[in-house]
Amino acid sequence: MLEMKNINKAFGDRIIYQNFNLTIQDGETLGIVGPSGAGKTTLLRMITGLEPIDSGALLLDGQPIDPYRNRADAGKVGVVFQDFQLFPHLSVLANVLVGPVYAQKTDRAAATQAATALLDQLGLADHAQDYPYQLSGGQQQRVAIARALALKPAVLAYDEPTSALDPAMTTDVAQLIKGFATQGMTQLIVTHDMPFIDQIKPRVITVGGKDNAQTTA
Amino acid sequence: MNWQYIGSILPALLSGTKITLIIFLGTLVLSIPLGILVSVGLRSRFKPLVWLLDGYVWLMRGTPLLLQLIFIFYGLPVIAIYFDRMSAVFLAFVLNYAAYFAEIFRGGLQAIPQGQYDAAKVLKLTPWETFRLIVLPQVVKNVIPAVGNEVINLIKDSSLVYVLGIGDLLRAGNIASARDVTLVPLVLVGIVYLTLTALLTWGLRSLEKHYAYYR
Repeated sequence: MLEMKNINKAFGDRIIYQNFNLTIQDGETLGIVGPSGAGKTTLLRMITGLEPIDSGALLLDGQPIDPYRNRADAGKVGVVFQDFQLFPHLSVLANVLVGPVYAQKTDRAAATQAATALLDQLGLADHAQDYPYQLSGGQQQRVAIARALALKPAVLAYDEPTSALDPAMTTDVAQLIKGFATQGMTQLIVTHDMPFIDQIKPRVITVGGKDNAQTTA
Repeated sequence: MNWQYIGSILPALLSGTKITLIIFLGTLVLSIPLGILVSVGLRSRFKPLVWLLDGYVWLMRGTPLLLQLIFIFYGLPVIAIYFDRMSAVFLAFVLNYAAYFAEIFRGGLQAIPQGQYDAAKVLKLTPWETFRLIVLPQVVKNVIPAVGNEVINLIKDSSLVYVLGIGDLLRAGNIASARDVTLVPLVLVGIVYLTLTALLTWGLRSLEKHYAYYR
């Protein structure tokens, strides 16, 4: 269970979150929606440690975590970035291996076996030696998902997962996320694409607007 | 063409070429890592360091390398700081070229999207791992053409050591030309420089091709 308790966040004079609370239960898929500039991505960046929290607590299974300052807590929430941010100079397999081999110091042979299984599960087995530029947008996104899952995160977060895809691909992503939900994966989807959310039908909270500061989910 | 004459001056020219190559390789090996370090320092949040490094780059790029050579070898002894000829050459060349390389690498670093650092952070990479595994390989690819230009310039700039009386390729040719009143040594010097720059151009193109495996 991931919890945000009494979170405050401001950029200069602009208050983005004030005493904000959020709970994501284990195995739950949560959609965070709202207009552009509402602070959805800021929320995701705070949870994943890419943005500092001004005050408040981030708890994972009741234990406080601080992925912004503490590297041991990084990776507990995996991220699939809006523009994927794959490493262009590394093959698909090497992209997936970076976390386990270098950060978790997993034995390379064991990590390769796990990464290959992950790529196979995501339909990318034939692309393990390809480079990101050789893949379609949808395939690149699945590599980004595999790379995030390789660290076995407690929560998998997606930042605007449909923004870099053509409309035909969004149904595939929705199916993938629904499949993960069925397997009991805890997921967080930040998006402003309501038709996409309607395909997945997760619990949804809205951020932004004048009552953003008091939002409690 | 008097082959016997060419044969007689060839040892001096080859000896000069050796000195030219020592200056070239020594400068390259020392100035590229120093340039990388300075480029990283230029992106530091510690402002006094940035000001210091900015000043260094400005000074080195804003004054002629010839002046720097003369200043170090002939100027500094005025305040009782002495360098032998080769030390003065390496000091001037390494400091000068590191400043140019620092600017090139700074541009290369700026071209790496913040998202690459973010992705590395959520994958739990340390700052050093991020630099070594993710950033540097991409920067190297980005800067090869610009670094290549500087490398070609360096082989030609090495002839400036003539002013310190070091027996490089140009000096060897010039002495033979003045002594024997013929253009042949200078033409040979030109051919050697052209051969060296042609080899470097070929090497740099091969390096570019090597890094073309991804976009």
